[in-house]
Amino acid sequence: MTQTMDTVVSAQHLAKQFQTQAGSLALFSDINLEIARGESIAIIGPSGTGKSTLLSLLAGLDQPSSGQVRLNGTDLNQLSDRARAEFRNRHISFVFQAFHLLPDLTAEQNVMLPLQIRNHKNAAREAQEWLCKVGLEQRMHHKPAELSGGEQQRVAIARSFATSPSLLFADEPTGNLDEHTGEQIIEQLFNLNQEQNTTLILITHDETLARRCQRALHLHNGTLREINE
Amino acid sequence: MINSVPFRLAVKQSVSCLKLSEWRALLFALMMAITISGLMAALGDRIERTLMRQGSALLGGDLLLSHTRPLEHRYLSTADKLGLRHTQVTQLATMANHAENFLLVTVRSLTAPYPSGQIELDSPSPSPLPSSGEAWAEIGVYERLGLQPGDQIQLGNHSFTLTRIIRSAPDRGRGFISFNPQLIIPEGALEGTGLLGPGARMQYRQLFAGSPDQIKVLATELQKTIPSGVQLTALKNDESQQNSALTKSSSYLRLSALFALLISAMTIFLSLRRFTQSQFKRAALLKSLGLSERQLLQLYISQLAIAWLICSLTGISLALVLERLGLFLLQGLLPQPIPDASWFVYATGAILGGAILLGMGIPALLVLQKSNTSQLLQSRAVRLSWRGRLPYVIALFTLIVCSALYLNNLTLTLSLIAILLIAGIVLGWLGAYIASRLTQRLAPYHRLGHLLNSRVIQQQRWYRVQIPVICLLFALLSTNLIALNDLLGRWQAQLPAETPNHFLINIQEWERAEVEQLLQQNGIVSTLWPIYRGRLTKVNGQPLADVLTPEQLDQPSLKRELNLTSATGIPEHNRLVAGRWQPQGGVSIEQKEAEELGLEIGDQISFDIAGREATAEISSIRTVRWDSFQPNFYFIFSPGVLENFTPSYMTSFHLTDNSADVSRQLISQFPTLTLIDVRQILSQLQQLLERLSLLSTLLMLLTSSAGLVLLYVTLTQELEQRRYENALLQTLGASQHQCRQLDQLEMGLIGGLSGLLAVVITELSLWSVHQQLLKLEPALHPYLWVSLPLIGCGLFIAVSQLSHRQQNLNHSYQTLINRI
Repeated sequence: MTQTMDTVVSAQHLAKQFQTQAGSLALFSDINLEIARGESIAIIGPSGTGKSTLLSLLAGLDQPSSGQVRLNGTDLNQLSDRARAEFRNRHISFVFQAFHLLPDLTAEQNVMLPLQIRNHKNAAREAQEWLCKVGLEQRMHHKPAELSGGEQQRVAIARSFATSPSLLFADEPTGNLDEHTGEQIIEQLFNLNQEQNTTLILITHDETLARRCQRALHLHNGTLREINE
Repeated sequence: MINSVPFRLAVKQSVSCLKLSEWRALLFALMMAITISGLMAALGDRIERTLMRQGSALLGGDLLLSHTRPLEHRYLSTADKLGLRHTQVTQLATMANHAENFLLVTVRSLTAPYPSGQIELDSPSPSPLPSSGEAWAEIGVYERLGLQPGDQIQLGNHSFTLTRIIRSAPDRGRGFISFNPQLIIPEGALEGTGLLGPGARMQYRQLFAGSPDQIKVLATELQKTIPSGVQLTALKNDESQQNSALTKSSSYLRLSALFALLISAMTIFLSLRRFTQSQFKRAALLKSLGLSERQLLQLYISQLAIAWLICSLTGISLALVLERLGLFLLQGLLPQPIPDASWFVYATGAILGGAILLGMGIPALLVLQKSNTSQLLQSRAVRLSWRGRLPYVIALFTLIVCSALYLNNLTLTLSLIAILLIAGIVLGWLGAYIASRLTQRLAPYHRLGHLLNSRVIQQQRWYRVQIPVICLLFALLSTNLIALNDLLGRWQAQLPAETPNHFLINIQEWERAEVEQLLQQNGIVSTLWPIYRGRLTKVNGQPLADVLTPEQLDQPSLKRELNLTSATGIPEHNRLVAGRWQPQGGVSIEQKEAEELGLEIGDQISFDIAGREATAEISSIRTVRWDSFQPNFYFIFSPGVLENFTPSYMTSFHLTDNSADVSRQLISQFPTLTLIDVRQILSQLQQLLERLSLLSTLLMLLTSSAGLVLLYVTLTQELEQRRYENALLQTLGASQHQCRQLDQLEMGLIGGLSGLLAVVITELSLWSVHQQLLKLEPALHPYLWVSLPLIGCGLFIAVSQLSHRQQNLNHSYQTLINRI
């Protein structure tokens, strides 16, 4: 598979094994994947098939047992810890099922965190703008416990877009929300994704949600197949 | 019970839980609580019992008359009539001399053995008291003068052969005099030494023993007949012993130990909370396997009981070892033999530890008992509900009860806990606030400044625990060490080079000219002051009881004979503040004494001097510098008022280290004079304080280790939270290095801040200790301002490095998705 200029994620012959007391356990052994800039793809599959592990490999958070992952043409495994962290901070963002907001910080302070890591001069202003974009201008100084589930996820979305990433990983983003709120959140996620021309990699077990993506991939028994095929 | 399922499970769990840091911290804190309280109870009990053995053996009798002048024989006749046993004791503090080495000792001569209590010797003596020409001495006399039994010792102009070592003797006397090594010489031998002049600091006592009824009759009889000035002490009201320096020190050590105990209790509370948290799923699993709630409770109570048993055994053993060390440090300062402490005293620590564990543990176990098997179906960790403030209330109540039992004083306990709580809350709030403001201000100046500020905001709750604990611990340690050092160092330093360091007292009229001549020959400039011993008896012709208020009558200066003098010129360190200096028939009074007794210029005051009355009119008021090491007087009479009374004389002068020859000449030429070498008194005092300081350092080390464990527990308390935070930061783009740096910056800041606040508390405490207790000019301690923040900084960073290692990136994402 050749890599073009527009390829954001390129995974080749990706394998991941774990050592257990019973011996070596292979989660998957030969996964190949190309994702183009601005594309949205969904990875679906039953629990325990390794969706989250695949996500952490694709995001450069974990190292494969064999194979290679290139993000924007860069092999993250060749970078130092500091350079890898800087790459993540510049290019990658996450939206989690459990929101992962720090409980003693306000919504604004939570959105500021990734900007503070890169020592952004106007972190507060940037965070306020993003909170306004997700409709939380009235809730900026509230702490997570004072916000509803939907509002918390919107703070997390604002945090993920605040760094203008080229790649956004969303791991079951509606898993902790009711159906109605979940739909609103997905709407917002897709809209911002289009606006910002971000590549979206969505992990879900919800096939309806998967269909909203340009491509859907099914992870099962260690293999990744395009659903359209 | 031992074969029951819960107990067998408890034994297994006790071992397997050793891999949990919270269980290890709990065991350590419990052991420290037991060691410290056991040690202080045993040591305190033995010191107190040594010093004030509640019984006539220490006093020497059931009833005691004492005075600075010889007591009348008629009291003995009354006792004889009632069939009571009695003896008469003459005592004074003087310098003993052997081969030109001098030692301040307390010498006693007795007319008969003590009516109650025995003089215990190293070997049996054929007679109950030393024979003529012999002296018995405590080991301190032998050790400090390098003597052996059979050697000679010089007292005044008489030499005695030391024949026995006194292991213990009743009637040591009170106050500072009781610290002097003691000597007992035969009846009447003191008269032969020539030490009993009019100015000598004598103590005359008559001691009586018999049945309680006989004593009661005698006490009633004596109260009616004894003149003012003679002190009557019954065994039950002999409270003065309790004021001795060592008893106070023992209470002080007990108080310091209380802090260690509170720290340990807090560690136990927090460790138990975490332990319960970690055991919640296990408890649910055991329930799902068929264990009833009751059995579950039995299991965890048994586990705590096993912990208590192990900690009690190790804690008591450690306390025994440390107690030996403590007594070794106090060797030579405590009269021997030191009575053994009962086993109950050693068990105090274990009982106290058990009570704390129970008070802190039961609420936690009740939560555990209510674990729900449905929680097993959830993959994430279960957050416990602690049912509001109940566990805190129970814990605080337990603490108050345990501390009150330990200190044996409810008011003191309540005030101390209230002070510590208030100080803790204020310091915690202040520390957390300063940390947050400081990081906000400094954020633009460091790459991680803004992140650090966010971290500090995030961790406020824990700072409110960590900062006060470390701050108070540091403050206690440094105040303790510095106060003792300052007392010694600055006390000596504030004496100018030429400050008199020798006092010569008890100079008789006929010796005066020769003494003056000898001093002049040696180039010593000094003034000889006439001394009259007298007691204030009347104001404006009225007895004191009629003109003074009960508070004024309670003034210590009215309860003893004062040294009075007469002079034409005003002494060097005195300043006239009112009136005229020495008109005929006048007397000058010290300002504070005048204020306390409500005396004014123009008042006529009368003194009883050796049974005769002397009256003068207050003509001036002056201030006195009491710390000048010059002879100082409350009352200085105009020449002429006291001309019909016989004085002795005293003087003070400075001798350099090279002029020991002058001391020798004085002692050999005038053996009946008392030469007091202030340097020697200071060195004896220094020795006492140094030993106490060592003992308190030992205690401080225990307190510090308890404090370190608490710091470790509070830092690891939120370990999961910290791991989670760092995992989140790493997914947001922070490197592992940045996370580590952020942790170090945070810990350094909090440690440094704790140190800095501790310096402020230390300086404030030292300021008041210097002002109120040591009467020294307060001063800042610049080295503290650097050292304590640095130590705090290093300590926090080190403990945090030990308590949680950074996780690598591979686990970060897993940490996040596991926490749903």
